[in-house]
Amino acid sequence: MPASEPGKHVPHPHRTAHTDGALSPGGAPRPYTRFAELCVTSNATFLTGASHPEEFIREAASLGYEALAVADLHTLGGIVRAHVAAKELPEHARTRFVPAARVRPTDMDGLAVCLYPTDMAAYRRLCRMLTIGKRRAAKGQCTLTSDDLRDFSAGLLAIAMPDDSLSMEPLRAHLRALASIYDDDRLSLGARMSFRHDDVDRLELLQLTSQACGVPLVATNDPHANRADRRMLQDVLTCIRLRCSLAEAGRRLHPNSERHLKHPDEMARLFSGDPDAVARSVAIAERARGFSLDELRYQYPDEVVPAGCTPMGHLRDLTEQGTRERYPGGVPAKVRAQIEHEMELIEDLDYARYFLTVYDLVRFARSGAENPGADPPQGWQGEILCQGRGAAANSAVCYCLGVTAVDPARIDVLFERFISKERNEPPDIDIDFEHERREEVIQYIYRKYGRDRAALTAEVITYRPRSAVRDVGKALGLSLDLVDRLAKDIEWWDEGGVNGAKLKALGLNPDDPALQWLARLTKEILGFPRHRSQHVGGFVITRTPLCELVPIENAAMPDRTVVEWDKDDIDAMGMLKVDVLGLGMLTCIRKALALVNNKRARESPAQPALTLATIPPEDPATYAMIQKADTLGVFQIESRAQMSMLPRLKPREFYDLVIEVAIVRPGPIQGDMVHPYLRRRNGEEPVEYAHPAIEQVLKKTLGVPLFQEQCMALAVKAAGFTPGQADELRRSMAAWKRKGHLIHRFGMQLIDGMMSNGIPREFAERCFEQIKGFSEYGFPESHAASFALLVYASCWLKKHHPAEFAAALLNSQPMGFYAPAQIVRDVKAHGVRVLPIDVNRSAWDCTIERGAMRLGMRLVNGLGKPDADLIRGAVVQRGAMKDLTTLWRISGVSAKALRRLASADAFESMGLKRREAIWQARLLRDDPMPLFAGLSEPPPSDAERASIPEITARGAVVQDYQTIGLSLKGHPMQSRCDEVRAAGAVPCGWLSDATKTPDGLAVRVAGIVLMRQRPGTAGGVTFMTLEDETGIANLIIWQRVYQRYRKQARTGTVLAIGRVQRQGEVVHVIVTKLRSLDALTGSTSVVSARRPLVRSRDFH
Amino acid sequence: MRRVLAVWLPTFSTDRIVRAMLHGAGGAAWGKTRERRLPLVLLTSKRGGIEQVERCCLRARQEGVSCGMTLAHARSLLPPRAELLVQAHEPHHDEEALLRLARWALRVAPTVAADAPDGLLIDITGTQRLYRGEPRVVRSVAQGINRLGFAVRVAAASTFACAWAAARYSSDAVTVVPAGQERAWNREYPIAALRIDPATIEGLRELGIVRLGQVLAMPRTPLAARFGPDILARIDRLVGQLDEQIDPIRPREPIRAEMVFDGPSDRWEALELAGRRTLTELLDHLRRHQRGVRRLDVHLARPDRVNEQLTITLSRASANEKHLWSLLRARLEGVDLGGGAPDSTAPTGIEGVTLIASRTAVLRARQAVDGRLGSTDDHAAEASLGEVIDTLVQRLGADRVLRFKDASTHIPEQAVIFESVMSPYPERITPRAGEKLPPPRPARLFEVAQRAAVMALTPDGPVTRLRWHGHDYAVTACVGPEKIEPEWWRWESPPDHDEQPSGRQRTRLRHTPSAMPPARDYFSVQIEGGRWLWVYRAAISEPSTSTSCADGSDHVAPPASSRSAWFVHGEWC
Repeated sequence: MPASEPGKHVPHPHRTAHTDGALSPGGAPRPYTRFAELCVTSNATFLTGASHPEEFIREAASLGYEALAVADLHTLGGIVRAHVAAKELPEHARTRFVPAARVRPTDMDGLAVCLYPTDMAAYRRLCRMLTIGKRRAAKGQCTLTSDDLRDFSAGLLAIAMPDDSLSMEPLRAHLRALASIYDDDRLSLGARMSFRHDDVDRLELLQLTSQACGVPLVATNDPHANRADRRMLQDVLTCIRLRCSLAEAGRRLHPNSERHLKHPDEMARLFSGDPDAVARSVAIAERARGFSLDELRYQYPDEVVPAGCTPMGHLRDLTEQGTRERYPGGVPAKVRAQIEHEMELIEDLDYARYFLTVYDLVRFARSGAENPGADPPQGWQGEILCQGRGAAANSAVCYCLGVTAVDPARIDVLFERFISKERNEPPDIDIDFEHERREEVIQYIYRKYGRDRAALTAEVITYRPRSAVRDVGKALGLSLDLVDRLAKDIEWWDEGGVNGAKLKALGLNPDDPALQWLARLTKEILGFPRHRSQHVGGFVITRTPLCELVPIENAAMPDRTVVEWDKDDIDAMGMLKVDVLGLGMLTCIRKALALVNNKRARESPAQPALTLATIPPEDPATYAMIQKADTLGVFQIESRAQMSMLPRLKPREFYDLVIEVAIVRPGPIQGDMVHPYLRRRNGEEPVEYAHPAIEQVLKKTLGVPLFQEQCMALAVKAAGFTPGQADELRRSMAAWKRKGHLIHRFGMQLIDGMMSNGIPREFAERCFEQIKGFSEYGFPESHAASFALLVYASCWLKKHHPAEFAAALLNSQPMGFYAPAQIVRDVKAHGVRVLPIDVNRSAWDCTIERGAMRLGMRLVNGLGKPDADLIRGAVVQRGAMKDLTTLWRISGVSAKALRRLASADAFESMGLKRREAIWQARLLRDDPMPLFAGLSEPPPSDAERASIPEITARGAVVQDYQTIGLSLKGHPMQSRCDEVRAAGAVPCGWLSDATKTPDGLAVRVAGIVLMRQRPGTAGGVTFMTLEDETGIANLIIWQRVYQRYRKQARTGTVLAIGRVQRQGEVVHVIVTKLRSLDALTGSTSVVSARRPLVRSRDFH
Repeated sequence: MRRVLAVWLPTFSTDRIVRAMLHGAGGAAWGKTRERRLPLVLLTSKRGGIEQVERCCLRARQEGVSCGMTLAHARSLLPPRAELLVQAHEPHHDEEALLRLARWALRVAPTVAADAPDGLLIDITGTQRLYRGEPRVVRSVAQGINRLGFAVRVAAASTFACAWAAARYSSDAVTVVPAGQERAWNREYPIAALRIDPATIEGLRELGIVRLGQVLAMPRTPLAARFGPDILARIDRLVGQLDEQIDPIRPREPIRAEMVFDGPSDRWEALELAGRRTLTELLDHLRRHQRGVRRLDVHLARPDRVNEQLTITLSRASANEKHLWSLLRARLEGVDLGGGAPDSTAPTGIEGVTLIASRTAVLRARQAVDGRLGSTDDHAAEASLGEVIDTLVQRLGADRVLRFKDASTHIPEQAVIFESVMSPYPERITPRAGEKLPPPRPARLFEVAQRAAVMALTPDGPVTRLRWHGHDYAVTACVGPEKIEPEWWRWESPPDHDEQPSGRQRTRLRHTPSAMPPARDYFSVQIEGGRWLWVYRAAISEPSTSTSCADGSDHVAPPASSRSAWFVHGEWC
């Protein structure tokens, strides 16, 4: 082959024959032979098939097949994708898609049976049979016998596919058995010619067998790939499956690449000895014509509609009821009109049941899970806070139904943007529930609809660059160490292939053939499914048994069942899916509201309880707090990136929060939209619109596209997309890693379209970059609006009820960005008194004690809730305890728990200092001591006291950190103040003062490391946050510096030497040197070497 | 009075790996390597799916790595370019190595215990005189172990517990704790020196008790009430109030048989007799243990020169006297009995014969059939095969007696490899799951495929005429084709033409013309006269490329005009 210079196009030898599935307008010339391939193994048979189902369909169409059946082993996981691809084929393509499955009966060794439903009933039987086989076996397995085949055989056609190694005698026996199951000429015997040594002999033997058993032969190529050039990938997949390298795989690989889709005429030539076998394939496909996936009409469940009502009537009733609650002063005309408009659409598209199903879940949560009746059972926690998200959720109807609290008057999201009439797909509503109580909702769904009608959606885990490099690298036989290095620093690789310079930087030879193969195969394997997992909370609910629509299998989690189809498949089939998600902040808000309502009830019992919906809107004090970036602990806008954006963006109203939530995301950042927006908002740049159409779309965001919806609207209004195309664009956004070529095609169309409308290329390209960025973390306006509401609610609570908010935050841990120490420190800075943990005062949760916050026992390391509850119960019942032994005896708490509490210094009210308490608690034993049980121990003697050293101030703080993760006695850096100042470090608090630390000043700061973060987008920069007793310091460490000081950077306490960088309100220290201050914690220090002082939160 | 040594090998596991590397197969390459060029060694194990560092070498420790860290964390601490050796931690190999080291230490004193995982305990009571003073004993042990390639710290004391503590927590690598000073000496050591469990250490630390001195000063009863009686026992052992027993290893004596002559003899008959007798004696001994010989060392004592040593290695354990003698005899026959130079006055010949069964193995238990032992055909066949192999190896050398091994590849000329018959048996003989049995291949495969001219129908046969070695043959039968494609990963990846022209400038890779050999279509053809040949066509889809295989099976480049070339690769017999 001639050397290929860059840029010079050399036609690929194998590609010229058939183009990549894209049909030329007239289609390929019709083959002379009619042929249907019925035994395709696609990549839905994980790590076995080497092509996507779509690729098979497109290839078959371009080759002029009559039909193509995807028959994956024990799964129908690929049929929806193939079906969708078949529907998208151009008119003239006549290839039909036949859904099928392949089964390996356990009692028929060496034989697989491919099954083809001929009608709806047969398809249902096939699904049910696979479900039975899967539920019997462990996750990912399937156990079926010929008895099962017999039970579910009606209406199914079958092809028996013997393995190469199966000898004739057992084959005959199996065939006779199968022929009795699939009578009436429904059984065929598959034969293939794939250039093995005994093809001719084998075909002859199969012909003889076929005659002897009366089972006709059918020709197939048993393809594993759509094209021959997938051979390398095929081999690699085999190796990944077998967990070995290519060199070790040996004869377990295919000897050649003949098992791909071949031209029908070529099939006829190969089977020239038996032309009937080729014809038989078409005949079988004809008989399977009786069923198409289009017939699979999804039906909504009935339960949600009470008897005697129509769904629409019921929905109208409920909405009407809701309007009265939402708008006690009368419904505004605008809202009324919108409700009417939405109702029409819902009626048109028959989505009433969908809305009712969502409403039912919300109602269940609102009513406090199960209605407790007059006497709430123990542990009943009342209402589960929840909120809907998504475009359909932010509708007037949903607002009235209580699904969302976002007032449609406050935000205008076009309802029909996501319920389009063209696409007959249900709307998209995600519901967030309190993360601690999501399971209750899930169990409610299972109870209400039953396990055969409700199941979780699958999440098919596909190869992403990192996992791809890892698995392919192992298959190529690279050393584990090298594979790790390559996978960790993925920068050397991208869609185009190897980046030689980056590879060299890793110390590798970019010309190494293995690395070239690695780059090439990594690219090929991207988007290939690896295994099936469960979706976080997507539920499918049906009226008829679900297992007759799609096979259901066991999930890794006990008591969970998962359907075989993923989100896209479910969408494509138009099935109802509700996302039941967990959100920590909802837990926190509910707990905070409960504490606030307690307080209000005490102050003035007449006040109505505060709820998420009745939090006063647009409170200026709250916005003032947000503008100062005083947002530690609140929802979403608490991260460092968000906090540094707040003073620049200065949110003044609700919509600003919506923007704030959406702007600090990979999409806008990658599309370089953040700075233009800020400049325009601050009046530093005129607000211009390149085109009037753009003004219409982007007016809200000052001409800068920030939301996913805006990009789609731009595509329609400025680039001339049809709404359907725009929707496809949205879908390909989510899956562009999988179908990369698709988004590039759209990209061309988008940029060309926009340019033809007079929009500058530079703007168009940025839009496209942003769309690609959205794929990483798509953030639509409708979601941002729902989130912004929680942002506002949490900020309002923090502003007006700081103690309650902090307590709720601590009681909802782990969640959010900050550790308890920072939350406590922050609440103290807001003037709230914080009281230490004490056995006689604390409960499990943090509580409010006369305006102050009392820390709860939940902070104590290693202490369980049952023990804390025992203590609290005893104290509430019997009053404060005077000594440890009494507490132990009365409460029945374990001695181990008391030891933990003693270490946490929680016996102050008994007059016991920490070490004394530990010394006493150590004496108690959980195993009964027969003789002395119950006797109180003598108080410690003076000799004992003398032998225990006094604790130092620093020791006490350190031990606090080790036992409860924070200290009210001081900061760990406080006791080292002198040492640190002697080293030249200024207090971290000085950094916030521009007069003390002007821009460019050389400084030293010291503190404990709270956080290290190296975002993938930041080009190797490490962000680090230090804390001392005066405040925090944000460090920026360039990669070069980090490499030199990586050892120091990983220690718990550091001294950073660098230069101040001020950008507005944002202050960083650009680090040039790092020094570790971890005291030489030898084994004789009081600081435990095994437990770090503060476990920094590291993100990589 | 009792005096004992404790030896601590702080980086035993990693030192062992480095040592194996230095002395192992790559010895030549590593031989002159200075220490700083050695890789950093991490030994890891998987816990809950996460790779965790179990042991690390000293330099890694200096970089901040500690045991118990995740591998990812450890990596982030090490210099990115550092040469790193990451291996699985194999505790059982460490145990074995520690036992070997303990056996080595028997040269110091007769009572030695392996103190797992990384120490030795040696009772040196009474050996001081031998070494002229205790400090010398300690130093010589330290130096000796150091020379073996292990970092080491040694301490001598009157109790094992005290020596153990001093070896680990003393500031010096070599420590001698004077007798009676146990209590005073240890005060500043951390309480971990008591060898108590981590939970107790943590509990005491919470109370501010971190040094041994503090523990020793505490009232005993309350201490025991809180931390259990074990801690008192540990203290008592440390200060010598409670005796500590160790479990010494016993040296293993190889089974041997010896015969010493009255004087040197240069007569063959004497040597033969001695050989037979000692062999009989040795086998009697072995039979009692139901073991057979795998390796036999023969020492011949000579007055005139260095003793001669012969070694006989067997393919299978054997206790068959006749067989062993046949092997031994052949070797003894080669011994030069004549002695030194003719003018030498020193007596010549052999003074004595010693046989040592230096490696033995359990003889497979044999079922008695018809009252006779070992009469089943399988065993007999197996044993006699072993004897034949031994005899052949004896005569020809181990590297000249080969056996076939299936290489599990589709490429015919690589599918069978040869290996020495003495190499250990493969673990797996049956095909792995999913592996097909090898397809039929001709009994005779030509080392280099031979060019032929063929008349065949396109695209895939059959072959009708064959011209080979100047003869023209009509083909009477033809079966095929069997298509075999090359093992692509051994060659460079051909340039990828799918590549989308990417906007970004990137370093272009050097694309040498693809060297991947073409796929082959094999046919079995019968030529007139009945011979079956195995011919193949190298299907060349791209014209004007010369092909050369890197796998050794070079074949002639086909003429540029032809689209395929034909070869005869073997003959079916």
